[in-house]
Amino acid sequence: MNRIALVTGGSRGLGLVIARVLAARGYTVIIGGRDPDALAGAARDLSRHGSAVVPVAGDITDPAVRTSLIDAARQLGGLDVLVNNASALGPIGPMLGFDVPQFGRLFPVNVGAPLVLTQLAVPLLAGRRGLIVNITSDAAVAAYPGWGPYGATKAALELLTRTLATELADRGVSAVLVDPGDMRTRMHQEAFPGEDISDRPLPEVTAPFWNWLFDQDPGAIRGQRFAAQQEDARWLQPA
Amino acid sequence: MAAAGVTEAFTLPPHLEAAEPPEARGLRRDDVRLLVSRAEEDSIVHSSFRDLPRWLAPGDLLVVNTSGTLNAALTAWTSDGGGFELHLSTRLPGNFWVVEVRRPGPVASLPDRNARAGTAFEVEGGGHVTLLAPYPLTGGLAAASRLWIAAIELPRPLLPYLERFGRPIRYGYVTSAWPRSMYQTIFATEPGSAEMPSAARPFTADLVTRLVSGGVQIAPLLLHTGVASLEDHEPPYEEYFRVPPETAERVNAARRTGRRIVAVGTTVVRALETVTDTRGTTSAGEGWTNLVITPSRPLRAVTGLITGLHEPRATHLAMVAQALAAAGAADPSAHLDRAYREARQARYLWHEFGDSHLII
Repeated sequence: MNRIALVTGGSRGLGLVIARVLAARGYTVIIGGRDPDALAGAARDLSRHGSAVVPVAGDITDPAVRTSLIDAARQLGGLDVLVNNASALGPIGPMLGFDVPQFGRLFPVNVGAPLVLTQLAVPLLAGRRGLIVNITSDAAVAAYPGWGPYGATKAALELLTRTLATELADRGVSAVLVDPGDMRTRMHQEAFPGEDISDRPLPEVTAPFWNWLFDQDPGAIRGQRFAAQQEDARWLQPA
Repeated sequence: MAAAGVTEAFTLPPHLEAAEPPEARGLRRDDVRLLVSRAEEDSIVHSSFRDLPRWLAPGDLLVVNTSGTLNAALTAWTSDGGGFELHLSTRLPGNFWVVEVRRPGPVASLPDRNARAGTAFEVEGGGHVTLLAPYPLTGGLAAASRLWIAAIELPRPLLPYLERFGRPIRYGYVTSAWPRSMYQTIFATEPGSAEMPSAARPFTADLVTRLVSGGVQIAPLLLHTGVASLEDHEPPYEEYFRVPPETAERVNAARRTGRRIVAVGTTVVRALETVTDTRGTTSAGEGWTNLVITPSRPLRAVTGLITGLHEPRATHLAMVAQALAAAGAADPSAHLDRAYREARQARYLWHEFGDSHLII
């Protein structure tokens, strides 16, 4: 059976690395992204693996875009993996100066969109031992000065994911959390404007983790949280 | 069901396929013939397109498609030296395109179904076209496909690029190449169609002037046509359209006052019906439509149609039958059978350079 995966924010950075791992494993990959040029480049890159690639351009908070992503999976016959990777960083800085209305963008992207996509995708994931992967951050669990608002959205996503994991168990759908760690991506650079982030590894460093993750029986890792860059590779033996 | 008789019953003899524009036969665009189906009376009259004003009344509304024809055919090759022709069919969100893969044939190119996801073509001037996924996705990934979702990378913006390196799409029944001006209707203002919205081809400035002077109204909309499915008898796929608010208002006004709403072309039917609700109210709208008019989906807005003569089994025939029903035909299928029989006997010409059919 043809395996199908959907990766939001799949046109660059971490999302493209995940999509590449999936394409190399023979998945048909649906990728979402806002920048048409980056999306086209990513689609060409992924198609080199010989698997079909379906690009869907647009913002993940746009209901029409979410429908297009899910429609693509439905037309292809179902969905095996949903990776909610698209995220908004928002302004990094002390919370006393945080422009609170910015939550109006942060929560829809980081919490609302993954939940809506999950709602739409579950009928397609059910019966295929489907896996939902939500990308989180260490800022969701620890207090990093300046990262409060972003961390709050990821903390919300973590709680929703763990709750979903229990609610979806009897439908044969699993949900997990992955903290990819600091990486040299455009989003990370936006958190440190003007700073040299070249000491951070490229997102490709997480490729072995993704290969391992997609080898797992989704039912056996349901509800777990993984750190893709754990130095002792503890993700190889998740507790 | 409506049109079933017509769609299965005839084969189109080659001599009824218009192989060249009427201008090449020494005619003006509006000198093509016009088969007039008067639906309520169940009558069929042989007329000329130049006499169109005679068949319309003051206040009747003609709705036209302002989409212009692209030079949508490109020469392409793969790294192993294979030669192909690519037809750009439909622009998708994000500037991806539905592309048809074809290989050179004796007269014109032919569909090719051997391509695979990831196939990369080079096109002239240093451009690249990469096949991403078969289109439509519902066809299944294992099935051989002639249509693909593709990423297109060109050394200059699309329109100037096609201007320089593309040529109009041409099928085998048109025996030689014609310049793009032959594939443009006088209403074309915005390029984007893979194939000419050909129902409006016979209109000339003179004819439009006579229509307008006679009180006939003309309202524009846009629908960019994709490649036809003549060789494969596939249903029409999604196409981009835009119905302006002024046109929606005029359609509603014509309906309220009992005037005819005559679609110039099946593309106009598709766009107007997409934005017309079950109560018959037309709204402005824009997007991609995959509406197919079938016997189970009667027309809501359109009450008349100007169109070409359609291939046997073409899904367009179901739409023509629905137009006959909307115009008041008691037995649309029987009328259509008779009209097409008369057209064949009277040697009307089919396809984009051929003759016309008015349904009122």
